[in-house]
Amino acid sequence: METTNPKTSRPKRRLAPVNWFGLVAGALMLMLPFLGPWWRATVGTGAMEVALSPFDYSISLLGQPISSTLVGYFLLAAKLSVIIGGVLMIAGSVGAKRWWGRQLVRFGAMKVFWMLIGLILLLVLGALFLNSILPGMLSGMAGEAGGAAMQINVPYISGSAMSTIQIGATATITAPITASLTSVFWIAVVVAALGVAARIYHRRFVKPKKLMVKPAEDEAEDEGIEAPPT
Amino acid sequence: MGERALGWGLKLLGIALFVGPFIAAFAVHNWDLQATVMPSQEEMDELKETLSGLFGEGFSEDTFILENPTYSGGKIRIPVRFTSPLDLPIKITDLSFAISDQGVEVAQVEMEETEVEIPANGTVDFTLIGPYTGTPPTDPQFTDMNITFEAYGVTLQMQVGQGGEV
Repeated sequence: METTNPKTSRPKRRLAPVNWFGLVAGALMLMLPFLGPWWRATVGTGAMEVALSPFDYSISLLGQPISSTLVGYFLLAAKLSVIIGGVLMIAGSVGAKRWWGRQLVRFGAMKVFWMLIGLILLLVLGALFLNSILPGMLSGMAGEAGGAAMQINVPYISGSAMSTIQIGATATITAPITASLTSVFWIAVVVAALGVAARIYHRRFVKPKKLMVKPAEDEAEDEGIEAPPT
Repeated sequence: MGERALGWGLKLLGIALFVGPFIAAFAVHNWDLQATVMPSQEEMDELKETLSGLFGEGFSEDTFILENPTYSGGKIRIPVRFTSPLDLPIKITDLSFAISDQGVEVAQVEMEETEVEIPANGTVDFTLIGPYTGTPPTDPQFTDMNITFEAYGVTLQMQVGQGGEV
């Protein structure tokens, strides 16, 4: 019968607890700003092209690019924000039981989620403006100068539609508009879901505050939770 | 203490990343609102140049030249030479009109080809065809002209009432 020698057997090493959701989400957050646009739209076959993500944008009219400094700086900040969020998320996930783990994870966890919500809102409100408000404004302006009826149909987020501009009774301009979400958008959805999961999962590493009172400190130490420096 | 400091640090970082771009963008444009928000003057000039360049010298009477029609087999054929004044490739997908003689409509012609592609500032020949019986008109006029162009996938359809002599 085989026996183990207590002197030679090594003690079992427990892996430090890691927030795996946060680790994966953090790594993907570092890649996400460099994967490309989340949404694309085209008018005709290159008459106008729009590509958007929370980190970058490109608008071109007949191949001529159009840009805005303010938007460019905002998107650069969004890029930095997600990269910093990703780094902190990884740090917080690796040091899940450290006193700073929860705050670092919280800083990065919801960033991509809110960016997704922001982009969807922007697309829906943008389409609503183009479909319902802009034609009235432009038709009114053109009406004073001779008369034009404008019917813009921009797809909400994704799809195809035809827009027409009727200039008097003599000319009609028709433009097909196509919009679609790219595969990067769906990667972002996965990252956002992982971020939310990481935030929820991280609760298991945090003891409720009522247990952190003085008499329970020893117990907390037993659990391996590091107390913040005072 | 450390937890609170970290909390504030992260909050300030979030705020800095939100407010920072505003300040940086305005600062590089000397606090000029229009220059910061709108595309640069250079970009706007290039865009204007591109748009105005598209139409070249514009349409003239030399753009469409209708050659002498021929009549055979109960059909009228009108050769057309189109010289594009546009600095972009286009397609003509429809060209049709009615021919009247002495105020009476005698024929309706349309493109024999399904569509005609014309390179930027290029010239193409195509044919208009329609049923026709009887003697050739003595004072032909074309009316109810329909023409449809396509450029960059955008379609421009024009209807012109009264035309000139064929």
